[in-house]
Amino acid sequence: MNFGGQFSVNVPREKVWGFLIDPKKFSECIPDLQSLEVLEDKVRANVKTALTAISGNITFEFTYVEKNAPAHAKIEGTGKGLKSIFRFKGILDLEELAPGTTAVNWKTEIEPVGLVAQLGQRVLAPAIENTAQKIMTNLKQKLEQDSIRM
Amino acid sequence: MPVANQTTRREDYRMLTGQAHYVDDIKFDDLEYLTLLRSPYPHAKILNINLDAAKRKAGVDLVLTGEDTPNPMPIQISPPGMKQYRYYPLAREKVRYVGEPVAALVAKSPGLAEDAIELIEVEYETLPPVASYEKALQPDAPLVNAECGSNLLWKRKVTHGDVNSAFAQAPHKLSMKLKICRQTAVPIEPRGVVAKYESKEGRMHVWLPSKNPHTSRRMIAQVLQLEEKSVHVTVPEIGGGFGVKGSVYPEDIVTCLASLRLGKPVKWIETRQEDFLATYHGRDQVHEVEAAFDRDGRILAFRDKFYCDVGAPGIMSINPGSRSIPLLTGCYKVPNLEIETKWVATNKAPVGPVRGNGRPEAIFVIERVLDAIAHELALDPAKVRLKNLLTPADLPYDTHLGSKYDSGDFPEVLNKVLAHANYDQLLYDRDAARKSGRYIGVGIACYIEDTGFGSSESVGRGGFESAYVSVNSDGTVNLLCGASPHGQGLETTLSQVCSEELEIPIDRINVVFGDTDRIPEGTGTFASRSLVVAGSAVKKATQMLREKMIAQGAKALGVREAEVSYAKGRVTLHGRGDKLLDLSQLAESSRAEGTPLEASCKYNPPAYTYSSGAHLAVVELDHETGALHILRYVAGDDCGRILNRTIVDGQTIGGIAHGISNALLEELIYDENAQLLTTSFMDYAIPTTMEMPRVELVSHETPSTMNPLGAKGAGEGGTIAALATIANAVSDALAPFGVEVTEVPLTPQRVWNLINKTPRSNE
Repeated sequence: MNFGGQFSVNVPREKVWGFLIDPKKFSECIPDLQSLEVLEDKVRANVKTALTAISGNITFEFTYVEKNAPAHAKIEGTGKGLKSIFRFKGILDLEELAPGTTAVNWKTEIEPVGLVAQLGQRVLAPAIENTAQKIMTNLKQKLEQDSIRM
Repeated sequence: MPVANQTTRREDYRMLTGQAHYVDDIKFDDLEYLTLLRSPYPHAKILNINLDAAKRKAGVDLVLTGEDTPNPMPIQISPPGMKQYRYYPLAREKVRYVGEPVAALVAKSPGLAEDAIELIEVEYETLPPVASYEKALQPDAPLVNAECGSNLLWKRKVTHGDVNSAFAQAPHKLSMKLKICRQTAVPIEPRGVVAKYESKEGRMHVWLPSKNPHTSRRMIAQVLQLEEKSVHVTVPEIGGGFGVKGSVYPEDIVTCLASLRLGKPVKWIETRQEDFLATYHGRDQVHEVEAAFDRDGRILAFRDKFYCDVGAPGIMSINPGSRSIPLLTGCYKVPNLEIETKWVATNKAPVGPVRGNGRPEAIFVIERVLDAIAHELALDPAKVRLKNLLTPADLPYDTHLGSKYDSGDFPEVLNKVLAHANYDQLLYDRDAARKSGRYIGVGIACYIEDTGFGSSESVGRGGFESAYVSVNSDGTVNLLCGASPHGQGLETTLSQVCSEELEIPIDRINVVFGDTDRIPEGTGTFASRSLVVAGSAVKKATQMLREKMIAQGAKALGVREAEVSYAKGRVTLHGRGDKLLDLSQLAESSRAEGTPLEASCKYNPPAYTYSSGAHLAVVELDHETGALHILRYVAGDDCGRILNRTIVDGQTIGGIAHGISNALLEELIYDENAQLLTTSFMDYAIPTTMEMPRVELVSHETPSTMNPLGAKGAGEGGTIAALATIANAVSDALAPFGVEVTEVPLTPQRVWNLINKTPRSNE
């Protein structure tokens, strides 16, 4: 399943970049985050979720596989929980539209296997897309709030 | 004494009053519960399995992986030339389909086992999957079983006559590509097993809802390397089988192994999701057919190149496709034919028998072809059939595909059905309805089915059936039979056979099935064989018992055998009605001499016997939604001599429900990554009474010449016929849109797509 989108914020590209590659800051955008561990080579996040009739926690682990500051980052990882495995990739591209204004392009690819794929795939795509949109909406708000505070 | 043809089923009372005991009702104080970790991936290497956390959890007593199950499952059907493969109870080195068991965990409660199994960590390296036979046959396709060197497990070609010349000279030809999707049986009671290893006696007691317990015993012993006599299989009541409750599954072996290791009883009960993932799937065939015919619609030659997507090779993978071949020409005379079959492995669940087992597919194919011929020549489909049907004068008829039809009157049954349905009026009403904007379709299908699986020589191991009858000192009769029923009403019909021979009421007959200690030999209940083969065994054993009673009576009365006769449970001296011995006295006098009054028969039928019939359906199509409504369903079946009309009618109607469901509703859907998307009744539809029409039954009896009862099988005919009948009726309803049915099930979406891909001709 592939999702993506774009939004712009009135925040300089370097500041957006700094926010995105800081797992602690970025994790504030994830709904129902239960815990976050920043390890030496990866990030581990435990998220409470409900997908169709199945609810519970999923533990995601991901690493930054590409970092080209301040323009491009790619993460890859795996989520485990709900008797399912989710392999995912995420790409963020930052473009300076004008001084102090940044376009954020995001793409994500998720491949579920196991119970969730078998029982809920017909409604899974909209559910995941909804979560991804929430994260991006939260991200935009956080970036703009941080910018105002700054 | 004639036995009532509509004797009430003896087994119903205990089932309807909740007194029947199923495998999940079996309990022991020290019972442990097994659960399985199944592969979420369709194709992956197993790099590592970490059991530490699961083993540490309190209440967990055993964890097993593929390292513990080094002996592969026995491949039950392995014809010469088939690629040899290994199929382990728990996956070793790699997984081949979503749902394949990878590890098993035994704990003190089912909930604990469910929680603890999630603590097992498996590290996989995913491999590219193949989710279709087309991809599996590509030269660079990933291999489902590397040891095979190819995904083409087996291929077979059968030819007869001069097909090429017949096609070259024929005035008319057609070709079609027909697809029957993957389906499964979904019995109300999923699978399950209880195993209890008694270390003191060195015996494994297994309670298994198996349709062939003696084969289960042999296979469990083989995989666990036990002596066959040390395995005791008992079959509890079975909540439906419909083909899938076969000999042995990996879970059965693993549960027995767990009990062996722990020295405690262990139970495994399948969940509904597991049933969809790992119980046999069926159907999944694609046929590329060609027919050559004359201007009257007579078939001159038939060619079929068909593919069986068998999923990951299991113990019965070749079976369904093999069962299709012998019936691919249906009830028709086909002088020239060429059938090429390929069995292809993919990363889906293994296939095996599902009610009808290859026969619904075969009849669907030939019956669609008959309709297509009629359509091509603008002839009435019924008349085209009558031109091609074999007549009684043609029988016995060798199809040259492995069938030798023994008896039947195919045109007569079709004519009876047409008359009952008032066929000409139906066509008139259909045409009138179309003029008013209603889309009515009338469909016919003739079917034939090889029933009475046997002989042992022709089918390999186990075509026989066994029966043991003995008289108790109270005058009741024990009847033990190697067949093992699961809803067929065999307790009633075999009692009737015994009752008819001994001329005693059936309530004096105690029937025992499904206990390999009490019944040393047996083959089982499947392939519409039980009454044909087991019934014949019972009849012959009971006849022997009757002869023994005459001999014993004469001896006890001190006269010659010619001076006594047997009737109504008594041996009587001729001309002296007061001088008699009843069953109780006969049993006692025999026992006093040290020889129990008993007889047994291992009946081996000479060959299959063939049931046949013709069905007709009228459907109405909602052209805006693709929804279908069955307006009428008429079923004409010839299953030989009928012993119990109620049971035969029940089997026929139940079979038709299954066939209608196959035709309209059921479909197991895998995505392109070989993930199964239909693992609950939310996504896999089965019919309720709302989807079932009232079935109008038309009877015809042509007694079989292949067994002493004159019986033919009745368990699958409805399913075999209904798939083709409904498909033909829907295709007729779709005729105004210029499209034909080539694929089942005919879900509303599929019908809507058919309608909307082609410009409508009458709007």
